[in-house]
Amino acid sequence: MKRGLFYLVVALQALFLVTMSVSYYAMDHWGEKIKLETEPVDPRDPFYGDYVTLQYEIESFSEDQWRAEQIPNRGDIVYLIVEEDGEGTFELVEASPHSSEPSEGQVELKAKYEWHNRTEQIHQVSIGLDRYFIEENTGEDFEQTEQHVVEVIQAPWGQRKITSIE
Amino acid sequence: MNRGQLEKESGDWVKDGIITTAQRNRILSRYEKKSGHPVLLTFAALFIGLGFLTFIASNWSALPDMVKMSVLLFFLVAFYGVGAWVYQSRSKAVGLSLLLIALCVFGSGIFLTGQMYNFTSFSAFPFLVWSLAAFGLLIVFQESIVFIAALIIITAGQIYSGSMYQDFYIPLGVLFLAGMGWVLYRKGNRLLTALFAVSYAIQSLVFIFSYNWSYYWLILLFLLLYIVSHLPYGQVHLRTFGSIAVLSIFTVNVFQVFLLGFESEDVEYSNLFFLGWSILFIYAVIQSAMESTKFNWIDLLLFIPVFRIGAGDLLSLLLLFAYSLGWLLAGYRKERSDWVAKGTAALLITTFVAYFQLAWAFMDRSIFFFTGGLILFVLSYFLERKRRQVKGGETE
Repeated sequence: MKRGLFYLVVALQALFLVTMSVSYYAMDHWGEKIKLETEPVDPRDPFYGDYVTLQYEIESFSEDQWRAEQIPNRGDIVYLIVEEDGEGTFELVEASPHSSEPSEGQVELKAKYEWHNRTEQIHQVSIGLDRYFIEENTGEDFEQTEQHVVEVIQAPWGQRKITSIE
Repeated sequence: MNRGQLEKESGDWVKDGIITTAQRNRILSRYEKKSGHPVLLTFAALFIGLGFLTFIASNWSALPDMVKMSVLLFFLVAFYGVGAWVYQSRSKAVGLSLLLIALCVFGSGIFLTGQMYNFTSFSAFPFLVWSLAAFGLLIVFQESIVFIAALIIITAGQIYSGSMYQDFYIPLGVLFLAGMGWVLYRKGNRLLTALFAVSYAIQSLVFIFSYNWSYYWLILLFLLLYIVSHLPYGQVHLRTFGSIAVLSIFTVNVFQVFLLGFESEDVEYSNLFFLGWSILFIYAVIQSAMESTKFNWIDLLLFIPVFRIGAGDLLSLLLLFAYSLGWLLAGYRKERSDWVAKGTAALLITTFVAYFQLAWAFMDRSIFFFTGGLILFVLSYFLERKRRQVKGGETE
């Protein structure tokens, strides 16, 4: 047994968990806050119960907001540029397959491409924050068939979290 | 082997004149009687630990996040620490199981922390971190059971990636081929090689389907596995790759029998595939021609892609028959009972597949099964008789 290496392996694992925890709190300090509106979701998830399934309005957009010729494959990374509208929530400006420097007042969100609906001419992507875990017996009660406003923080290192749901 | 068993066995060895009494005593002295306490103590510690663990699990949601984190970290470090200590100074087996529990604590720690802090991932990254931890342990302890644990985590991660994100997670694949492959090459044995190959086959499936490639690329991936197993400078234990590769490609051919052949399902093929396939196949043929066993080319029959031409079902069936009969005949000629057994099993399965494919549609169900059973019965009778002759020939 290589003693030094063993300590290193264990220390790295502990460090990883600690970093996960610390980066979560660090986001409050360095992250950017955006509010996103959700769409009602049909509750068909088998694990429905200890979390709500969320689908955001910015996750589906029309073909003219897509800044490229080709339709991406499922699972490809796409970049969404969002901007605050008058009422405090953020709306999609455009989506593109390449990352770009967002202009003043805009935020870029990384997302995964899901599918293209030809008949309705709509692209569907996922920004990944589709589950919000609710602790049992905390009095929080959400109906995912209703529309909510979700406050999200995005850290400069790409990490995101949901801070609240209204 | 424990001392009690050894005392009993070695008595017979002395009686049979295999070893002398002095040698027996020297051997026995290497197996000193151990007191039962350390094991009992370890189990006591284990039970108390598990008690804590279940107590915390049942009150998990009521704990504040910081307490959860501290609990996770405490158990992580405690199980690793105690595990390493027990491994070195008491019992390797108990120590290893404690270390594996620690590895599980880390894995669940990743996911629990992720859940606690609403983390989202775009890939199987959590599994990569977990398998890296397992790989680190493997480097430190170099034990088979840790190898298997790492293999399971990597394979599960890849399946997770395929089913959740429709993506083959390349970093995991690299860790598998380069990291695990290297350890396997240096320190592996037959069991680990077989498990590695099974994982390779599973990951090949994930790879093909997540990139929406047609199934026939599997032929190439399995052929690659086969070639590696027969590399002239390879380690002996890597030979087991060949068996798994053949088993996998055999299954592919069985599927082809059922799925190909209808005109509407003619498979579109890519020129790149045929280029790659030709190079690998020609190499495999040359390789098998240069081997001392002159019969390994029979395996290669199964790797011939028949989907390109019409009537792929019939041709696949022919390949399966050629493979089975090839090994049967080679076995009879060289009087190798293992080859005969291999050919027999393959022939029985092939006959069954052929029968199913040809007769299912137009025969009454009960007659279908009766006749099928009868054919297999007669076939196995003749094959078994022949096999005994070969086996008899071997022992004489």
